[in-house]
Amino acid sequence: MRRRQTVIRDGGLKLRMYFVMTSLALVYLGFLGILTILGIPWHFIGIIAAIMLLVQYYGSDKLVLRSLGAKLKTPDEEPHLHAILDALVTKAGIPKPKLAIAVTDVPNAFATGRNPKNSVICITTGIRSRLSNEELTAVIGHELSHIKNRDVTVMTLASFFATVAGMLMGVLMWMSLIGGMGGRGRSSGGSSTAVFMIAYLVSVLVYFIATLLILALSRYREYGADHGGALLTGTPDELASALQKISGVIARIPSQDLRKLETANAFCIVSALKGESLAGLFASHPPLDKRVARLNQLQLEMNNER
Amino acid sequence: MSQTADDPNGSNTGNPADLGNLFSIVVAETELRTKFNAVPLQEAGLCFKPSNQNAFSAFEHILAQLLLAGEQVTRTQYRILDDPYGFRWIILKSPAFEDLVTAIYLTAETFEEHALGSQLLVASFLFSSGKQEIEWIFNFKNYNFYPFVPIPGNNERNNSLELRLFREMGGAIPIEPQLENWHPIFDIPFEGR
Repeated sequence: MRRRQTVIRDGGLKLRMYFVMTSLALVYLGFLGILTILGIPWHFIGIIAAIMLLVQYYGSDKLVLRSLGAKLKTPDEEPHLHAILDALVTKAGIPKPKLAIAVTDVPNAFATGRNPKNSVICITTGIRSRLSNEELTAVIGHELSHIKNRDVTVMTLASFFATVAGMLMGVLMWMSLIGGMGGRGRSSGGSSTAVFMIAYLVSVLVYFIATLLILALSRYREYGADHGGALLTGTPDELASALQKISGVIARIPSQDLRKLETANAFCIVSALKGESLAGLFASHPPLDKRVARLNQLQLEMNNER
Repeated sequence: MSQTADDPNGSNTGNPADLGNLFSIVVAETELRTKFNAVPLQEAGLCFKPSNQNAFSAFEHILAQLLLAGEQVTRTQYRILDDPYGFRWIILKSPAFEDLVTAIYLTAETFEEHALGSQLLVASFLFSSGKQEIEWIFNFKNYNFYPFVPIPGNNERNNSLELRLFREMGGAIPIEPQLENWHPIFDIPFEGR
């Protein structure tokens, strides 16, 4: 009963999330409207959109896992992590996701998959070696919360049109440069160039606004997963400490032995690249101190309820 | 914090980074004692990549003579061991910390004099604060140190203590400013282990 109270406090967050999503939908609708007025053929947008949607919806999880070289692990191979997962999914009431391990020193964990039934939780060896048992459990709770909230689907759909706008940007730019596609009856070559130019500028604008909104949405979703994950494990402070460990200064200290690195030089380049892409990902996450402050607040509330 | 570390090319006045940086650990010894209650454990190690070439075994022969001479003059004992990574260790032992540092310096200098400096990986100086072993790793690529505090048993390290050592000892020794380069070196074959 009291627990519900804490959940309700999350209401403001949900409201802001819906607001952002509505804004996104409006931006996209406006985008389609302008493209129609400009006379950009529907089938042209449709084909690009359909391909992007299919790739994102069905392929993105496999793509992410493959790009990290992550391998699926059975309970026999990873009994400890599977035990943590088993306990948490029972509590959360969701199907058990698959477990993957990526061998990289970059400390990270993420959930992927288009719906709870097809989801995968991926943990890097870098995060496992840095966190205590309790912290690791809290991180897995956070990722399960993402799965439960269907965040991957939401974010895929949200970023879908932004991706389409991005693709159109490239195609239209190219078309306006070569003077438009021939054979469009209504307009002469010169005015179709102008049309493509305007459509290009609109695409740029849509891409920009959509990206900002998507990042905001992503940050709210992170707060939501922090909150849900902390309620699931009952240990907000462990999640706070894990976050500090993996995104603070400590994350920069490597855990791979220097001699291993010297013998296999190839790995060095790969891990350096991954480090950079991770920094990019962090832009989609709220600032560390704010997340920690919220978790500390939640911990206080929980302590008071006891 | 450490000018020599920031600019390995030595375009800043005076002090280009070189083997001489090793001696800063001698000065730092007192500070480690007062701030961290850490004392040298009388052992230091030098790690290098052995080469198969004939010239290298001739060089190792010269090296052994040098180490033997050091043993007779300063009573700095030495052992040579191979590790599972294909690197070779010279482990030195002496109750006098200055002698340990000097021996490491002379050995590394001999590598460089024979144009074999690129075979050198690191030197490690072992300390103990009672509860924990603290290592200062000297990287021969950048000629600076970084702290390494292994947690016994599993391949983990005490990052928070390492960062404290970084903050508080940065004035005394040149410390590698890029934390990404603080790679651990687990299971150095010290005798006290």
